[in-house]
Amino acid sequence: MGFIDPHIHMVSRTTEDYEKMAIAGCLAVSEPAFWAGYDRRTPEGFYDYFRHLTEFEPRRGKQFGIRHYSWLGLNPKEAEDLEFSEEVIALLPEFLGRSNVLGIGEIGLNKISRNELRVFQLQVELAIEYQQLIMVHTPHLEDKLKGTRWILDVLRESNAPPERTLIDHVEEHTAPMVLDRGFWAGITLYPFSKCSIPRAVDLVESHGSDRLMVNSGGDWGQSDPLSVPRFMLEMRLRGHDPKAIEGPTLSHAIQFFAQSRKFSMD
Amino acid sequence: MKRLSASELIQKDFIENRSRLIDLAAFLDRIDRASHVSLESDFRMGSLQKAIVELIQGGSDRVERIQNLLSDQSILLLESAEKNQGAFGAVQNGCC
Repeated sequence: MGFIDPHIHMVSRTTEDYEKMAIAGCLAVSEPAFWAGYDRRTPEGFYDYFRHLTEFEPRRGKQFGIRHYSWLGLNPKEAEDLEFSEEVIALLPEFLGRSNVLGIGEIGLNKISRNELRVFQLQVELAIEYQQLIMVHTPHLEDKLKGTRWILDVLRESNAPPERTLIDHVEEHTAPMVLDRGFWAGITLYPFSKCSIPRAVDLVESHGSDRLMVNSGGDWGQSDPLSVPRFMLEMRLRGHDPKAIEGPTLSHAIQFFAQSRKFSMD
Repeated sequence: MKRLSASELIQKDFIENRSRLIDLAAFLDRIDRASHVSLESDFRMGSLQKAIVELIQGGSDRVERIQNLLSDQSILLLESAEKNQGAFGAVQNGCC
């Protein structure tokens, strides 16, 4: 059975990871722009990063038959300087037409400051203006609940279309408010700071899998690029049939991504 | 396929969760051995102790109750996040 990893930072992974993912059945990945582990000092640093996501990573994935899609934006950790943020956002339109770009992401909130919120609003407005899909990062740990509430407020005030917006890193206390408002929701399978695989299956069993998809969130931290197939195994061991497993691991991602004319599984 | 029964789920996951429980007990013992200060003096440990109480309360919404207990329930925006980028896993002002 094949799968899509809708949120993985392949820039931080080895080529061997691409190979292991392909062996495990990975058909496509989507990679949102994120924090590099340090703050970039210039907008040109982002320009080079966006080139990397739209030129180099698709070639690496192709070696193993994995389609590589990307999302471009300014992550909230680097959004405190408004002037700098506006310069980075001004770079985005040049890249949005590139063949593997599905939309704006991952944008959102981290510590939920005034400037983070403003930069998030600006990027949501840009996504709407350029008819892009949106991928939203929700904050970590104790900040997730508060941040998710603010994010939903901004999306509502901006008239962002819920069916074209994926809100990621949901957990038990935030998934219902995201799904109830008609948004897509991502569950990140991360060893400590997000959602474990058994809990992710619990979420699917409790809420159903409509508009839910799971991802590895794989990056330079402790994370596992094979966590989506591990989730599939856990579902199988818990008695779910192949069709039920396919929803959150493949077909829902296809359904969501296919709203961009650039996405294809052919 | 048939979903697992309660006894099948216990059979599948009991040992793993027994191990997690003992790891948690060992963590608390380790902190006790390392300090004469009460566990509650650190906001994270105080929250953890409240979460453990919540854990044994029963009900089928333990995870959501504990997630809420460990979450910032305020609505105020930070004036600046410049020197405040990390997360701790519990709320420092002792809310909840």
